[in-house]
Amino acid sequence: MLGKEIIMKKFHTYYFLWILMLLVFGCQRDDLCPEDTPTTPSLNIDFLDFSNPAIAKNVSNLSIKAQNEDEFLPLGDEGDTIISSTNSILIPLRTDNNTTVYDFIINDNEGNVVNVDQLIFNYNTKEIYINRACGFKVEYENFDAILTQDDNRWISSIDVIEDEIVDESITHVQILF
Amino acid sequence: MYRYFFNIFFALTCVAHSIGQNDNKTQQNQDSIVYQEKYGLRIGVDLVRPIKSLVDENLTAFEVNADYRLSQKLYAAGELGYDTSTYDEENLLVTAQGSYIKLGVNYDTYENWLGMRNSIYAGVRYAFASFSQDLEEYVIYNSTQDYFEPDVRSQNQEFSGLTAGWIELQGGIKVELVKNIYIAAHVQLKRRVNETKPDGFDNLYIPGFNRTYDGSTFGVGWGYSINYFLPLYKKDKR
Repeated sequence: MLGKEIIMKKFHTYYFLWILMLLVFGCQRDDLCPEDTPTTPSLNIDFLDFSNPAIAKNVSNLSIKAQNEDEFLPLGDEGDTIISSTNSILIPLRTDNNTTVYDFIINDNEGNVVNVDQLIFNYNTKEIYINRACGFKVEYENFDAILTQDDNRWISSIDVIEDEIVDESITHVQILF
Repeated sequence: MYRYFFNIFFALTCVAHSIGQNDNKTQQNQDSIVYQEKYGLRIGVDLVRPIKSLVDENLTAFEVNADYRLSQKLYAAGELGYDTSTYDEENLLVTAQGSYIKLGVNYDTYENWLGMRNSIYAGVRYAFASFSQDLEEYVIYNSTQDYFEPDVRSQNQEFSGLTAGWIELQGGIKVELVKNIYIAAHVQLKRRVNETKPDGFDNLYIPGFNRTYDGSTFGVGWGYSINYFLPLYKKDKR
């Protein structure tokens, strides 16, 4: 009987150790930033007819390039850098600088440059914490736009509608041409 | 022979545990010998954290624990620890460091054989942590454009003087491996009740609480420890 007691005591201890093993678990949820998370907003620009600013006007053969960048900005759904038949575009602003300078270029049908107008966007950046997966985004305050003077402009004027760039689904800037 | 049955029964099902417990009590009441149980202080050190600290370069952690037997089933219990943990993901690099204390009680639910001192317990704690967070690097998140270079900010920002308090439920077991030496494991479920958040940022990791979850005050954890029982006095088993 005493021998059995010892065996059972051993069994008892092993049983406890077994539960101990079962208690080991780790759980780590993936920290992926969901696609639909509101991101750093782009600048929303509408094109209007300068002779009648109530009417939207389509641009033709427009391409855009930022100062000090080699590539043209992708504008179309398929990454096209020259677009036509549109009266509204979204373009990014630099988050690492308080100024973004863009050349708005009108081309002919063969892709040759016809007219280049320079736009200067000035603003203050404000960093906003989103969450642990996405990190931070930037919103823009005190936004202003300047059309650089030159002798031959295709843009007649530029109006800033919103001086805070927070929501990219609303128009911030109107370009009349 | 009855104990035999009890033990196998116990091994088969944890749910039926309480039934076996009651039966065992009946058995003991029939004995006329008064058995004395040891009371004292049990001190321990967590085993997982030092090992993880060696394996995982993003973690340095250390924890000691103690319990003191108050009555047949009740123990005053607590943990004291230090934690440094780095969160290194796509858009953020943050290191949290600080110390914490947990104080509360453990309630032993397991009726031992005479002379054995194993334990299955449920515990509750109030825990408090004092810590800081270093935001070492982050990327300005911009999913809609890749025209400009990713804007990576690597100027270190320190958020210090942060605190958090939480209520923690623990469940675990302690097994006496050799005389007065115990090995123990437990799991934790916790919920924050107070917290100071850094201005314009969040607490991603709280020492003792572990990682936080966005939009939730709950947390989880677990631990393994080795403990030494220091007997102080004896008391009749009731």
